[in-house]
Amino acid sequence: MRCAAALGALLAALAAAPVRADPEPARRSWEVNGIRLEPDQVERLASDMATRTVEAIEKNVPGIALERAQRERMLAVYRSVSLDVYGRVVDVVGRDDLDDPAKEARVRDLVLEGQRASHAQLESILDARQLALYSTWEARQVEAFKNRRWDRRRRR
Amino acid sequence: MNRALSLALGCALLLAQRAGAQQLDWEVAEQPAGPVLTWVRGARDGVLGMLDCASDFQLGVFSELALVAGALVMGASDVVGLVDDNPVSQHVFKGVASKSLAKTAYLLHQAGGEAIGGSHGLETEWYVRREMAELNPLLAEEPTAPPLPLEPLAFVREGLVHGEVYRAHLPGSILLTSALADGVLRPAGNLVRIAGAHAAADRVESFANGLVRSAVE
Repeated sequence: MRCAAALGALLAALAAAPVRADPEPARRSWEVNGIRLEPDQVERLASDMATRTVEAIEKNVPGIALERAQRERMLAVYRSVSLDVYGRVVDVVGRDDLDDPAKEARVRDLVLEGQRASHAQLESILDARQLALYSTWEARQVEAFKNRRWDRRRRR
Repeated sequence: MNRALSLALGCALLLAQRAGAQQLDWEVAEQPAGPVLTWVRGARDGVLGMLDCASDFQLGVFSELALVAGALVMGASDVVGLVDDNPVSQHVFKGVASKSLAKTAYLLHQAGGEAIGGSHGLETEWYVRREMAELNPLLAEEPTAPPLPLEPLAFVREGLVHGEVYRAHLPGSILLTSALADGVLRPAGNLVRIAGAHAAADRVESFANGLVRSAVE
């Protein structure tokens, strides 16, 4: 009986829980080739991407020494850019009027556009020394991305 | 599993310049409908969701057993390795027995890892996460493998103890969370769905799957 009551309380709490505040106007779902990612999954993936991106910066840019507040703001920037860029990428993939090379070119453009957008926002978050360090590393990464052969990706 | 793999292939389309977009035959596009048809669809999804719970639970049980068995066999391999693969005996026995046990341990571990990955929507997310990372210039060099299964090297690399294998999974965690999720929460959520409260049912489903995810990640 107690278990049933506890379960009932949990279900009631879940059912009544307010939907988490979202910086985007609407919680979005993605659909790729007929398979749907629910809003919770999209949110989690975007947050995960942002976290990993900031961790990669801290690991690969020696001396950048981010403060906690900077890290938080960068997480918000990358999360927002991820949602925007990947959402648009999913739209491009779903288009029937583009062939694959055109889709690939468009996806590359979207990714680089997102990178520029995040860089512009970081200019108001990082100080001059940090920005110089970050920019050097970012330029190298972006160049490697542009030159990457996407049909020869590494696999596990 | 097929579903996750298909999604990965779908995402890979972006990058691999291969086939055009495909519609998968188990995806059914449904137009918005009136309240009666919407309820009927919800009831159908609730009943199918019950079957999905049973399917995912048996994968959870299998995964738990296989991962624990894999860790136990790895333990045996490490113990045997003290005899047949120590700095002296390796020149005589070449670690034949311990290596054989390590291979068996890997096969069990891989089966367990794939089983839990193929349930509760986990592998879908892992694959999408990898594809997303590859579209991020700043993450190009970062590892993108899912937490389970481990790479084969974790089982055969140099060393007396292969600790990574033992740390990969907390024994009982998948069984416990899967039992709670698939035996209690998700069935209750499906009953809520059958009753017509779809948003609440989605939240219960998401919470339950998150429990299982927490046992793996």
